[in-house]
Amino acid sequence: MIAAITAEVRKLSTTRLWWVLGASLAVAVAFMVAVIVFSFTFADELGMSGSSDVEASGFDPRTLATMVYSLPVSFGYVFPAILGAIAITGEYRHRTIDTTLLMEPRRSRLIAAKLIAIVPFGLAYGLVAMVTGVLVGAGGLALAGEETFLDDPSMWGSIAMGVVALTVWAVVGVGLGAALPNQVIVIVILVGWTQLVEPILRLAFGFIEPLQGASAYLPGAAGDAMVGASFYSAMDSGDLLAPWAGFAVLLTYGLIASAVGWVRMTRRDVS
Amino acid sequence: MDAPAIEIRSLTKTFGSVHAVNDLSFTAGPGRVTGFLGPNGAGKSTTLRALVGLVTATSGEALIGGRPYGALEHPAQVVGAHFEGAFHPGRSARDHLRVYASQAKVDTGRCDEVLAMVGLTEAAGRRVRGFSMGMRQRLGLATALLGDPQVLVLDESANGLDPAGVQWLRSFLKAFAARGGTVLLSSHLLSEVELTVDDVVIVAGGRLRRACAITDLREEASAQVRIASPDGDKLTAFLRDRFPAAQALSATAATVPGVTAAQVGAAAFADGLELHELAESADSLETVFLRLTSQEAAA
Ligand SMILES: Nc1ncnc2c1ncn2[C@@H]1O[C@H](COP(=O)(O)OP(=O)(O)O)[C@@H](O)[C@H]1O
Ligand SMILES: [Mg+2]
Repeated sequence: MIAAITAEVRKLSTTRLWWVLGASLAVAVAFMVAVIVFSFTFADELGMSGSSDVEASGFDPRTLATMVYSLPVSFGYVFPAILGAIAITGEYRHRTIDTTLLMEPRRSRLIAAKLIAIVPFGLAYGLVAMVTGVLVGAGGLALAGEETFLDDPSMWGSIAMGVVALTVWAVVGVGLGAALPNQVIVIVILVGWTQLVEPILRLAFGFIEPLQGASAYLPGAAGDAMVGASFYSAMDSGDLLAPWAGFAVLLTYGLIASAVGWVRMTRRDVS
Repeated sequence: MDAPAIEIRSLTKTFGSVHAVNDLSFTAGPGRVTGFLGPNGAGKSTTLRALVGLVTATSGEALIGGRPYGALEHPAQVVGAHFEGAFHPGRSARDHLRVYASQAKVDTGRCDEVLAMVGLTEAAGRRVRGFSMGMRQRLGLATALLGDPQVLVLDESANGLDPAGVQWLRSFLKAFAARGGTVLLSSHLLSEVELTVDDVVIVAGGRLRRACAITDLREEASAQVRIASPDGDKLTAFLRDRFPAAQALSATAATVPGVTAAQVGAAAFADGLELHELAESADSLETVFLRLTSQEAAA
């Protein structure tokens, strides 16, 4: 099993993908955090909200800071998910799956090795995203004269949960890749879901009385919940789960996808 | 010590309504290079994939040393296999091998060793994206050799090699078999592997057409000998007396069907005919191959 995990780690580390995606993640997070912190804290100067300051938009300073530190998860989770998915779909795309299965004919082991090997990469992505997000976010808050709460250990707990959330997203990506081993389709679904479908659903559910509680169980919302606040829930689209419940829900998505992938991959002919 | 043999027993594989392999049986023994031949779509790749567990047989078995691939303890140390195009273009040749080194139970030094064996030392650090077809085939062979296996299963490994490459592969595989190894090499071109293989297994339409030694196939080829002599009149008389079935190509050259070069040469010597050319025609084996794999043969 160690040998299979070593092979999977080397597969990820020997192409450019991991750092291209990782660098994109840092840029995307820095940009989104800067834009959102700026628009929330300087809303009055921009004339976007009628009254004077942040409190008037319904936030207490602590919620605002937590929301800012959750942005790397809300806007960055597609990157570890894509890395995880490509860890499987890339093998089919480039036909390396042949040699991979020759070296490890037990397909369940192969999937398990990929689920484990993605974890250090997910952690690295989580660290990159959260460090970038906290630097830019805290900088923005401080500039606007808001409190950063970085002297509060429980805030660091939330930030650490953001790292965990992005790691779980990488695992979910592997599950998705196994369930849908077509690279183009899986990327289109991931980008479409995370950037379009889920944000719309979360807003829409907020307006539909019987579905209001359901939006918290959507995968993106579950990931956001791990940090304890969300840009989307801040925009009045329902409450979030408790951090550990969010972790459990997101991991369940990963396990369901992996189980579907396991059924598919163990039966599928490679020809 | 002899390597395990490959046994295909009544193997059948259908993809929906396509009968890719149909009740196919043959063996490839140790110490020999077995050519697995047939036109495109004959079911060669499917058979080899079933042999190494990439494809699940509909019925029948494909065994290595009496066991299915998946039941081998350390498969990469017993069987080295390669199928076409299994590389990530962005990975270097050395990294491609290093990825699999842990599973083949070898250290990274072995990666450089197999690269040297296939003549890719210079290109070791280059990305596969820039590799020619011949270089890819060499890297594929290096991948198969990683675990120092006793059995090689190679799908179309001579495809795309230049003549020097084909010659290199030939001597490599012959030496591997001479050390007791088992080699099963598929090809859609008999001419590509004709001088490499000891045995042939010919398939078409998923069915076995012939399994025999290449020497048997040569004998079966309707031998045709081309001769030329500077003395046209004497040649004509010689052919009329000795080989009436001969066909004249020109005043001084002719082809003689159904004989060997030795027979014609001996007769010419006995008759005192000066020969400037005496050759068994090279396309006769190809003709047998075409006849065996043609549609009519299926009926
Ligand atoms: N995954 C698949 N799905 C459907 N048909 C397939 C599949 N793989 C191979 N075939 C068909 O099976 C037949 C044999 O293919 P193959 O084994 O690749 O032949 P060869 O390697 O001798 O050229 C062909 O008709 C091919 O189209
Ligand atoms: Mg083929």
